[in-house]
Amino acid sequence: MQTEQTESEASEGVTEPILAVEEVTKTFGELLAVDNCSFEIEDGSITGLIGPNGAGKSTMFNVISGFYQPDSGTVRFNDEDITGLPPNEIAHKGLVRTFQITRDLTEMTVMENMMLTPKNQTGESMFRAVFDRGTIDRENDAIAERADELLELFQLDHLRDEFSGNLSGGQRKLLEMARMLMLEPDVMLLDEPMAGVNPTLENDIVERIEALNREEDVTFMIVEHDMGLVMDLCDRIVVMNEGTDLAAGPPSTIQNDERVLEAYLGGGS
Amino acid sequence: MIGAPLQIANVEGYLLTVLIWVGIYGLMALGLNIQWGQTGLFNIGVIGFVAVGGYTSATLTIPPSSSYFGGFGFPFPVGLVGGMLAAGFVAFLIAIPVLRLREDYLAIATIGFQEIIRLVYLNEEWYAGGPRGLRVEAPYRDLWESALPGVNFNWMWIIMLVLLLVIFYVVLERLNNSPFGRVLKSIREDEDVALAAGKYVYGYKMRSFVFGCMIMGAAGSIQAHYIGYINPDFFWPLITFYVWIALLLGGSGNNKGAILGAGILMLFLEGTNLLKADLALVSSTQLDAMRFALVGLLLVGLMQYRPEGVLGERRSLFEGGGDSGGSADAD
Ligand SMILES: Nc1ncnc2c1ncn2[C@@H]1O[C@H](COP(=O)(O)OP(=O)(O)O)[C@@H](O)[C@H]1O
Ligand SMILES: [Mg+2]
Repeated sequence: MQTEQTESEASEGVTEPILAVEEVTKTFGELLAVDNCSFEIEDGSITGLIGPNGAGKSTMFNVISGFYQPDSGTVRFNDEDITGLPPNEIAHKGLVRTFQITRDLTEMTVMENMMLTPKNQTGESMFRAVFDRGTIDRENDAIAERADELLELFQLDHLRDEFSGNLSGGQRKLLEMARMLMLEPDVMLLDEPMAGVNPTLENDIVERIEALNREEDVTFMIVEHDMGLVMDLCDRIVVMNEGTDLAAGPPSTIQNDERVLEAYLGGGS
Repeated sequence: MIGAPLQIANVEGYLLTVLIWVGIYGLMALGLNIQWGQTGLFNIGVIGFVAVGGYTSATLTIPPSSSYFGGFGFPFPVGLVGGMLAAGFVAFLIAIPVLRLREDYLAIATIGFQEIIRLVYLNEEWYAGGPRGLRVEAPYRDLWESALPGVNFNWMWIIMLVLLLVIFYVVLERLNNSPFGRVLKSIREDEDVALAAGKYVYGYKMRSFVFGCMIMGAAGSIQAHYIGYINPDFFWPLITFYVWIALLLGGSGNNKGAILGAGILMLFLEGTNLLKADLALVSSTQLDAMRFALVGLLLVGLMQYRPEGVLGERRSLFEGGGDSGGSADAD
């Protein structure tokens, strides 16, 4: 099922969509939070997801990542139907998300945060954790090395042994991203990664996203309210309004889309 | 059940008794620590799992009789391991539906369970003698008395408890300092993050809960064989409360703290006992009421001055981390 908007793009990108949301609906009681919403994300792209407050963006992320069960519709990732899978399985397939309100592992150090995420660690088995310290130490060393690289990239290396509860809001956002990158994801869904972050740090985050996209081939979908930033950073933009996909396309088209302007003026944002 | 009143004539015996109870409470607190301290699982039915461990261990080791179920006459280690397995199995059955739900359901289920299981043991007389309970022999008594004549037999219990505490301590520390322990901590902090990080939260909670309850079962087994009998009166919810106090005092999240907390708890219980038994300052009922008030005060003081307990692992949060410049960055 393709919407009109995505068809117009077939010309500019030949890549298959890595993530496809098809006619997803999610209700909370009487409330239609997501209403028959469809869009696609191209492999290797940075896609912006915009829309007025309450448009259903976060709910959409929760459906995609398995935290909410949709009432209907499908989510396809890498050509596989992942609708209704539990969040942990979806994450292990390479589709990870961050939360709009940063979720902290407050009483774990920055390094512990980082070392939590890698999958299939030997020491996650109770038996091996007790009786196979050698293997665990070796794996820990390898994981720590990768973690240190990422912490350096995110300029958190000086906070390595700090409790994450002692970090500033912006640093927590960075840590959350870095933590999820330890899973070596194909796709990252970032829910307002720049909200409440000072301009310097905002620049840093943007740079990290661009670098990861370029160098590590991570595909991004980003919810962000700063239009200028979205237009700059994103290859493509999906607009949601009142739970549904209103428009999708390159920034230049979206900027001049009547319906989008209307939605934003109407939505009071 | 807190131990014999102080008899000045037998200081060694008295101290041994107190130490044995420190060990038994220490085991319970260790079991609770992996659940609450490491994983954030709110088990307020501790004594129920202790009871299952104790009763199972008793049934497995006592001689056969028609007046109660079985009597299998197995040696003590079989009783101990059997008690642990039974407590773990019951924990597993309770956890299957409950751990999928939000946290408060575990609290409701465990508090209900500890009350129900006591009533079952009370009313099902065919199983373990109902209110009369069962007589349980202490193991290795003859061996001890022939090998070490004249040495207080309670040293045997001390040795056994120290062995068990050391074994569980080492195992729990290794678990704590492993990827497994990291996942438990992340669940304690925010289970949605653990899920988002790809961890099968339910499975980790299950393992943590079952293992903790197995340690409580071991405490129950030791307690039954040490006292020499078992009946439902040993398993009032008050004991669960004491185990929680021990853990919170000693420092939630820290295995040493759990054992230390059991020590502080016994100091407190015995200290207040002293007022009654030897100084005759208060009556029994006054003592019970006073203890509750004092426990309350102790907790309030703790929350005020050392919310993380004596050895709690959440320490550095409260000492502030400004030195590394962590919180200097305004957002
Ligand atoms: N867990 C929930 N329960 C009930 N209503 C919800 C829940 N989550 C979101 N909503 C509602 O769904 C709508 C969409 O919310 P959300 O997805 O957070 O929007 P956005 O992220 O675009 O601002 C809002 O009206 C919101 O109040
Ligand atoms: Mg939102």
